[in-house]
Amino acid sequence: MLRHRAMLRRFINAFVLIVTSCSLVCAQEPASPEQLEFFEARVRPLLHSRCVKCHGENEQKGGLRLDSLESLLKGGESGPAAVTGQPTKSLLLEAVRYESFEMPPDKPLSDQEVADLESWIENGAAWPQLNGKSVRLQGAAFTNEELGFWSLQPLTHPNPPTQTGGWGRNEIDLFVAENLKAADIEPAPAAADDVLIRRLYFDLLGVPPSPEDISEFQSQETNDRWSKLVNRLLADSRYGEHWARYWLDVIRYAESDGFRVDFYRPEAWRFRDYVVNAFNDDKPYDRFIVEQLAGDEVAPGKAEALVATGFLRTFLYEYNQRDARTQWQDILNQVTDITGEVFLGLGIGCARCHDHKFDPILQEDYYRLQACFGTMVPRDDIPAADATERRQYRQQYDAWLSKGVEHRKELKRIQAPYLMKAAKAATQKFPEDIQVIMAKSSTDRTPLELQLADLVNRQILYDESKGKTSDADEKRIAELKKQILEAAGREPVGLPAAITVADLGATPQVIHLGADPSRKAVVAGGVSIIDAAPFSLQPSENSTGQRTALARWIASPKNPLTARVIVNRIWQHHFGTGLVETASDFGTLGGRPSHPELLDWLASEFIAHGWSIKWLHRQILCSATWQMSAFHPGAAKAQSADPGNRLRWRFDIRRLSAEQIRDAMLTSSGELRSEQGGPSVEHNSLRRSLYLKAKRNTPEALLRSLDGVDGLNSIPKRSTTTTPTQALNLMNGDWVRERAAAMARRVLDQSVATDPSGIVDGAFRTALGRGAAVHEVPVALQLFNNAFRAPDISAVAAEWFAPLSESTGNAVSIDADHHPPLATTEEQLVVTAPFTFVGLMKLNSLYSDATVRTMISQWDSNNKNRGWSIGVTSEKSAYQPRNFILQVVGDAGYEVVASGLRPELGKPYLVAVTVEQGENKKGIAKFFLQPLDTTVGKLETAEVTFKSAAGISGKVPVVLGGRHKQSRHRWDGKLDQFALFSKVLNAEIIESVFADQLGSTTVKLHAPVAAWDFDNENNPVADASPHGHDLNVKAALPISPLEKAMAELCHVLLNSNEFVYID
Amino acid sequence: MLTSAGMGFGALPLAAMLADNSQADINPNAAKVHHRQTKAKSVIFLFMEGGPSHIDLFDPKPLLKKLAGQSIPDSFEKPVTAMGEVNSPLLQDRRKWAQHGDSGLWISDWLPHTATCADDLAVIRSCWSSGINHAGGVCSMNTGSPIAGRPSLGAWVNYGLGSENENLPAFVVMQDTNSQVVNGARNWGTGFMPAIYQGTRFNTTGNPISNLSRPKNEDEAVQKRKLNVLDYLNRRHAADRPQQSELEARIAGYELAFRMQTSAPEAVDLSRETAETQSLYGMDEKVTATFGRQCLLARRLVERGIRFVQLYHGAGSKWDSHAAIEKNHTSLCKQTDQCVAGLLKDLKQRGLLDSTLVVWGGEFGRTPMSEKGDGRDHNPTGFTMWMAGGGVKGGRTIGTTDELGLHAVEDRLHVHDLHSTILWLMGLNHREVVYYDKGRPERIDQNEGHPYKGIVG
Repeated sequence: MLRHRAMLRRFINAFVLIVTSCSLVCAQEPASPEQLEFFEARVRPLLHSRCVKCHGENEQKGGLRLDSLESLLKGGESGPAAVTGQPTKSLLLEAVRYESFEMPPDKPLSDQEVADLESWIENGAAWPQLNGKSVRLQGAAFTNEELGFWSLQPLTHPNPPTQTGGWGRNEIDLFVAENLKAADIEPAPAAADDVLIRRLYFDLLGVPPSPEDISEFQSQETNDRWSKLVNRLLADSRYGEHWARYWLDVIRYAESDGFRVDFYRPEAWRFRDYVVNAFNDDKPYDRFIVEQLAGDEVAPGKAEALVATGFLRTFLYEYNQRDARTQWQDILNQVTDITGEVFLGLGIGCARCHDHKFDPILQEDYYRLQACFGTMVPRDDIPAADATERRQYRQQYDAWLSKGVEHRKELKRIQAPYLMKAAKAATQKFPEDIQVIMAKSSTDRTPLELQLADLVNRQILYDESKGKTSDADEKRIAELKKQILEAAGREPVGLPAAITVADLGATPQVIHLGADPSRKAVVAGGVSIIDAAPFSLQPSENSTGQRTALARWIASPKNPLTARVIVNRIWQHHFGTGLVETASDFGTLGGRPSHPELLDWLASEFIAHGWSIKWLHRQILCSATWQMSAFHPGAAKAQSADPGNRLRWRFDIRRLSAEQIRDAMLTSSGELRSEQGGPSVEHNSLRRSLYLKAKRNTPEALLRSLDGVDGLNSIPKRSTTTTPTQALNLMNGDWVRERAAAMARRVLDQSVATDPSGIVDGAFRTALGRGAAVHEVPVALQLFNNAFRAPDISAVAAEWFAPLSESTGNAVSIDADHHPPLATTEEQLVVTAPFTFVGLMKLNSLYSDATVRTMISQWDSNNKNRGWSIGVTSEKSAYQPRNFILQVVGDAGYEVVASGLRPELGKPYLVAVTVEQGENKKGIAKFFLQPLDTTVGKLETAEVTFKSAAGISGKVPVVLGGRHKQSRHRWDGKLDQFALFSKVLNAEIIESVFADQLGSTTVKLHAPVAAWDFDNENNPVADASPHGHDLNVKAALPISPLEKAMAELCHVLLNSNEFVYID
Repeated sequence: MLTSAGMGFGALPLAAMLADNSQADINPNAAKVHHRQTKAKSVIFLFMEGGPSHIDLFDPKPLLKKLAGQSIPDSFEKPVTAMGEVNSPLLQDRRKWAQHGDSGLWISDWLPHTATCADDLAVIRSCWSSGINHAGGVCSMNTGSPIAGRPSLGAWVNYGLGSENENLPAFVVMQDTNSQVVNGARNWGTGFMPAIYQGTRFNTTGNPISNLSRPKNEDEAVQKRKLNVLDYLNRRHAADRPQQSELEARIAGYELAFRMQTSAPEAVDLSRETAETQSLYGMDEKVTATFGRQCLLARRLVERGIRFVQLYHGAGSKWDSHAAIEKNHTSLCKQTDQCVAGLLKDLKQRGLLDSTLVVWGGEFGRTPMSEKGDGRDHNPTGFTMWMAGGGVKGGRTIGTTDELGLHAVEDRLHVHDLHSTILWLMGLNHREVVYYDKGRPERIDQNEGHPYKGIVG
């Protein structure tokens, strides 16, 4: 088979070689097939690999070329290099023997090679001919070794072995068993149920099973319970969330630019959701490839396909790079490199500057691939919507544009000079040749010039958005906008924009070798050793079809790399190691397959099953190979025969990925949010790690410390490192400790056991999916010390309720450790706009991350759930630190309303906020802040409008000093004299309330819906208004020693090796 | 040859082959052998972020005075500049220049203290880089490429040589302010290498490493009990799984983390330094106190075997003087000059200068052309860096720029050459420090650099 392949390749090569036109050899006798075979086997590879680099098409040192028989016989400056039939008269032989010239200069040929040359010349120097002329060796010729390289051979479909001894469940096992048998190693026994189910959940869904999932599986006795479970999990949408991550790693997905100003790409998440959905829908892999490389060409009317081309937009981008030419070439290089690595499993970057030194990839191949992208331009203006939606929107928008025409004209007139000025200034920052391009009309620009102009225009748009307008014009613009609004109504809400690409037209742009215009033009094509012919293109009206051709070439069943590479990637994620260990390097420096027949069998069956990745999962997961135990009774012997477990005689113990660890912590604490998809969220979110904002310069710290990716490099396989930073993060970091505290509360709440060992057992089950072993219980109980005695509440109560300043009654303390927030009981206290909040507070510290110190709220911190919250921003807030703010989720969604008033730490203040829905359906918030020292200080106020105050009523209890069921966003300090009114109190009244220091008569006069002054000796948390909204004392109890000890145990379990490694 | 295929643990054949290194399978970052015997053990890289003006500090250009106010003559090749100031009038420097030390090295009056160390400095006037903007420039100077994704110089040195202090990170980064250094933490990241080689940012006051200390509501006895329970569970777990050496490594990782809780605060405790030493670094004066503190910390760290210390001065491109360069550089030179000189003198008096390579410079220099009348644009095509200690022969200049300081012309040293030179000074052959990534044998210089061996004289 291999031999046949090599012959075929030579045959094809012969046709792409250039026919030389020299008469010297025309008279020669035709060579015999044996002679030609000798040339092909011994001489061509030699000349190609050792001679023609300096004596060939690109260089002719000493005037000598050795790439055709004619030039060899003609010779160079020192005369003919060879005389047919006379080795002794051949300079070439002298040179390779180091007798005159010493050639090749780096390393002499071997004796065998010299002998081969000698006998070739002696026997008439046979050289392949075409039409009576010798054909020239070209760069496109490969050595036999290269042509026979394993990963470039056509996919085969081997029959599974039959004589394997009966072990196993499916074909995979037959291939594995055959190799094991040959090595005389027994496969490990099957792993236990509880191990397997935990392994399976992490493997398919990325999260652990619940204790119920485990017991339910264990209680089943049917034969097909395993395949049923596999199918159920494959149908679970959490599967796509987990497996999308692998693809995002390898295409180096991120949501920011990755340069100095690491601008966020707010729409990038649509591509992430596309990948999640593709896995969940089991999109055929060939289609998945085509959509990412050419979705705009193959399905221009489909939103999904447009979003898929976001793959081509993951490149790093510098918003103020003036060297536009280099920038564009860098972008093309990035796209070319990533395409080769991701789909072909070839590191092709070397060939950018020279023929690959180790792999049979020519420099020309690099530019053949690059040519496929050479006519495209990035586009941000194409809606991620289907064609009909787009048409409808266009109609609405045109209708809107057709109204208020005069105002619009004036608006344009005022704005135009500013835009012109900004554009001119921006353009002048570029080199002169680029300025010349920008001075042309776009119809006069070449495709490359259009691509460069696109980069320049992005900078112009940016500068325009930063431009300043005179006050008078600013005023007039505002008036005009108001008039347009009156005349035409609101601008129709735009369709979401896809981050996509489009070709500049139907004609391919010429791309040059080495991106050097003085070198030869290269047309779109694949890797020559696989297919030397250039792509035949089917252009559409607006597109060259180059990317479609590339995609179809890659996604072809005939491409020897594509199916092998993806099958190997999937295998690697199931087992920890691929059949080929180097998942993105199927070249000569990469690994060789441990089971070549299995790889081919899987790859060809994968194609036969419609490129179905879920089919592949099923085969693997239902194999006995995957279900092996990590423990092997004869490990010592097997290990000495196969130390790396390449033959798969047991399952490898593996550390979970950063995301699996973080998500497992949230699963154990019971806090993991189930929402799927949509825009990415802040790093302190309780959603799955997949959804955290992926900024290249500031990846989430915990994930990063666990080898999470930053989106700068394609990562085929993550490394597993152990650093002190990791241990410090997990042991001392707030986030993990908060998960442990939440997990402790959950375990205690759910625990039916009251005895110490029963409670410890619950914690082990929740974290590790197994009960505590007998020997572990006493060890764990060390942490509990005296925790099982009842807490002494009265001792802390005195400290809990104490005056906030000399002139006030008791206030309540809230802090992270001992004094949790207070909440109203289940009966709903409905707070909706308009309302007024008045209170007295002292704040001791800010959060160091982006978490808000919350005074009062009716919200669970979820941006999708309605509610409101009043607090003070953190040190790292995007709205300035120590900013007195209101957050709402109402009809207009989540909004932050920042007052700009900035209370100092450690000082008592009177505070008030009024919230109402004003004219034009805008929300209005007024903030009042007044220091309360011995005398009343200066009153500061601020009024801020926001999108909407409608619908902000939360469906959860009102919480003082925190948020509903949140361990974060807590107050740190004291709160007192809190009152809520169901109307807007005007400034005068608020001042009078402040002047009275919230004396109860003034408050009562305005009929609060609830008021808490903490002065009632019998029940300090009673509602002082007649409405009975007493605060929840149980929730407010200081954390009990039991809960605290439990939190320590949970924290230990979340840090344990068993938590982060699976068998 | 030091190579690795990125397989995590056990990825270092060299370390694994060292028979006396029993830690090799657990700690890939254990100290390794040099390719060449040198005295240099540590690097202190003083990164003046934003781009200090070479033609106002180390590379005097008399022609600039003559042509001031004119456009650059056509005989000079026109570079692409960040703000398009190619044709702006040339701006003369306002410096008083003098020759210093026995060697007569030219240094301007902006750096009077550095000038007293002239005989220790090898001033490389012919540096050039590929990044014209800060992001590309800082990324190039740190990783060799203007585009993110490659390991930093400190990571390569760390990969090549390992650590000599088990209780502290081998690569430490400090900044003068909390402003973000351009590109952030990826400047000291590892690109395609495992995270073990990355730099650790030290805060210069308070707790040196984030999350280093015990949470304030957890007392020592509780932490100790927790670590005991954790250790018990982990050891039982690891004992059943001898095949997985990572489990032991992770146990060791926790131990190291908690040794760091004492060793790191000790390393940054400057109360152990005499008033005289503190004053040498300028810590007794407000303007020099901050950077002086960092320079002194750097000395304490190299004393403790830290391999690579990088100090950013002007974090967030403060040296970037597009306008009012006089005001900008007067102030920034004052903030650093005495501190840097203090560091060199202190290293020398303690006998540490031979084993410590000190590198000074920014991501690029500045143009002879003016910007906004009294500032200068970025100049990556020719700029100055200096090296001292670590075997470098001081008191001389290397290379030249053209008559206006625009392009490096003689003995041009690209960032790749600078990196190769630094590795060479550290005893490493940069060609042999190889990391395999996706079928490519990766080297710090992308196969383009050459060490400038003349740097040792």
